[in-house]
Amino acid sequence: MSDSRSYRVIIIGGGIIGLTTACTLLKEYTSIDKLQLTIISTTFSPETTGDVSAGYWEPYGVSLNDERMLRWARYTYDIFMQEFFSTKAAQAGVMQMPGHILKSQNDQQISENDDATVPSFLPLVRHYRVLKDPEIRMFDHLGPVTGFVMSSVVTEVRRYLPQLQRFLECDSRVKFVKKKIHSFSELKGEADIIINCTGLSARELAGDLTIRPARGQVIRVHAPWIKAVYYFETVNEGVGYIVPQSDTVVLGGTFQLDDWNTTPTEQDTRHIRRMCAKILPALEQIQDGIEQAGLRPYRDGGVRLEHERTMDEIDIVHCYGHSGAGITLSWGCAKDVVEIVKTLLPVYEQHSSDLPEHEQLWRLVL
Amino acid sequence: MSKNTNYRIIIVGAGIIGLTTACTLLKEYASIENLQLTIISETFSPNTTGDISAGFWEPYGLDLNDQRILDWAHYTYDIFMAEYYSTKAGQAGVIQLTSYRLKTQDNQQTSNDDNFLKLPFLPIVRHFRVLDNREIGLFDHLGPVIGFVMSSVAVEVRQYLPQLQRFLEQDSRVKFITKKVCALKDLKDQADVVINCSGLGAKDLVDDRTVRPARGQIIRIHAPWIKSMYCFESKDEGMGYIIPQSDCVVLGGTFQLNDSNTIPMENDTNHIRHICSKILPALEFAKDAQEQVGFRPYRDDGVRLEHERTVDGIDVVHCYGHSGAGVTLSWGCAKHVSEIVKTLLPVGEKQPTELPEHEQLWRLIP
Repeated sequence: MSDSRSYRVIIIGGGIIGLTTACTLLKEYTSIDKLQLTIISTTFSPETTGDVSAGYWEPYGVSLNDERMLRWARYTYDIFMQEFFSTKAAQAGVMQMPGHILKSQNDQQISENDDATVPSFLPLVRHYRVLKDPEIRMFDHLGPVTGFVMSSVVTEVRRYLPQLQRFLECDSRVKFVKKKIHSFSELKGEADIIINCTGLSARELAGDLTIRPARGQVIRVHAPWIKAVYYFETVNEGVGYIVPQSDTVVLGGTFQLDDWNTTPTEQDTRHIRRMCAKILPALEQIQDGIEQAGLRPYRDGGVRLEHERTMDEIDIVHCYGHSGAGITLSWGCAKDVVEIVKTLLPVYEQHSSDLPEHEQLWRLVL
Repeated sequence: MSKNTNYRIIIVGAGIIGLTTACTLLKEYASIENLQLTIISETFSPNTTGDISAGFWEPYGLDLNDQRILDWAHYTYDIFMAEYYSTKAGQAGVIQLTSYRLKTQDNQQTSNDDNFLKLPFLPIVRHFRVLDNREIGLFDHLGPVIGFVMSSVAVEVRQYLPQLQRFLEQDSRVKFITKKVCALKDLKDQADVVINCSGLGAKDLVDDRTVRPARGQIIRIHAPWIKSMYCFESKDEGMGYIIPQSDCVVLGGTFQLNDSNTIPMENDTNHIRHICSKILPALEFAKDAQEQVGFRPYRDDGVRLEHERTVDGIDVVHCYGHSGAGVTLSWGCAKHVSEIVKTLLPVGEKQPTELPEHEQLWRLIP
């Protein structure tokens, strides 16, 4: 027996946060025929923030002592890993590969270094190990380094979002609207709940000045012999990273707080190429590439995921401020958002399902 | 050094064995200006045996109790690993790969499982681990399996051989001749030492009836989202493997002794696709499939690497019968061959150099 209540939900934001939230909503509200889910966004793939990124799963640029963070990251990791071993992987751009995380050591640090200094998220992944002899010897060309390797996953947003969109479009309860929302009060009366997945735009929309751009420049190059992720942090020269995609390799990176410039700069290009060619010298030979700059939605207090009842009596669930970890936290945050929505718009009937979790969230539409 | 000594060397065979041998000889005989190195072969890349293979390093189909095999494999592995982290990797097609080896659990004969996890070559690789509960869970869709992961490398022969050829062509002491050698005695008086790297051709060339073709069928497909090597030995359905290359992914395989059929067989294609799609279900959708057939130079008693003074009085150093491990053993065998040649054609002390071993063997020609 289906529920005859009518629920109107608006999601603002059609990026990785908004669309994973939409899929999760459809999953939890399967029994509600009269659900009206509208996704309103200024941009959709390939123009969202995540489309510029390499989509590497790693809680990067967020505080790792946060229990919520670990929980969201773990759930998301498990979904992506299941998807890699499913029929979705090819079209959705989900790729398992090892990540090598390396850090330059100055002389003082070498004596201080010990195995205990691994990031707290590492127990979430299927495998990780500290790099020791003889493996660490492969990186001798970088000078004295320490590092670890982890089994991770890269989710190419430029492929993933269109697949989520196709799935969502198949559901008659879902509508997409391309439009910019300037204030929540514009939507008063149009929805029972508004879910705010606007990333950096939450600055104006929610008046949240703690959210700031963290600029990242990347170069997409043709380097098909590279099949693993490398991330190298130096003492004084910043960071370089190499993240393979389906058909290119992303070189990065920069993390420039409060920099709104979305135009690539020559200085950053030089820095990135130099750092990446240090890690894998054959990259010296690659001169071509497409540069882009994106703005991570960095937030001072970390991710904002909570319910707010505004003075206009609009119920909003906020979910923004993921910095460089949008993909990493996506499905986990979506789950928590929908749990909050369920307290406001109850659903009583729950299907039990034998399908794996990721299949319950969305399916490939052929 | 006497200038009257002749240093005329002919290498028969220009595949991976012949050309690595040639490079090694140039290295050892760097000081011999009147070295004449002639490489005679019926075929050159892209028509050699190795060009069809995926070039994956693994001592496969060999007697692993033979210490020579392990030593050759070890030396070769170290060369390729060093090349991956050098400027050569892109153009030479050297790809470091994480490789997952899985086998259906054998509940009746657990010693089979033990042997699988304790392959003698495993101490050679930079990293090896048995898959524990956390990781093996990723392969639940294959039924109860055991497995290990190792860090290996694939060398795309179709890219590697042309680079070796370019390097060799730069040396005025080297000559290439496209010709089929029908009998070694035809070369008498043309060389001081003949090196027989003729692979399957040795069957006729030196009348070695223990050399037999081991047919392998593969499928090259477009699947750029796959970044690791996977191999699965199932209980009843044979074995399948997935090996990424720069521009495609190789699915295999078969090992059909004494089978000279050059035409791809539908049965084999179906078998390969079936097993590989079990490992990675998204392969069901893979397109642009190109089937190919190659013949490994299998030899009953394993690799023949030795000096022979023939009845015609020719000094021959044989190096053939590598089965499916030509790439795997190449540089190691080449080294051993050149040590034997040095006992026949002496050369003084080498100049000391600080170049890494792989750079001493050959360099990228821009």
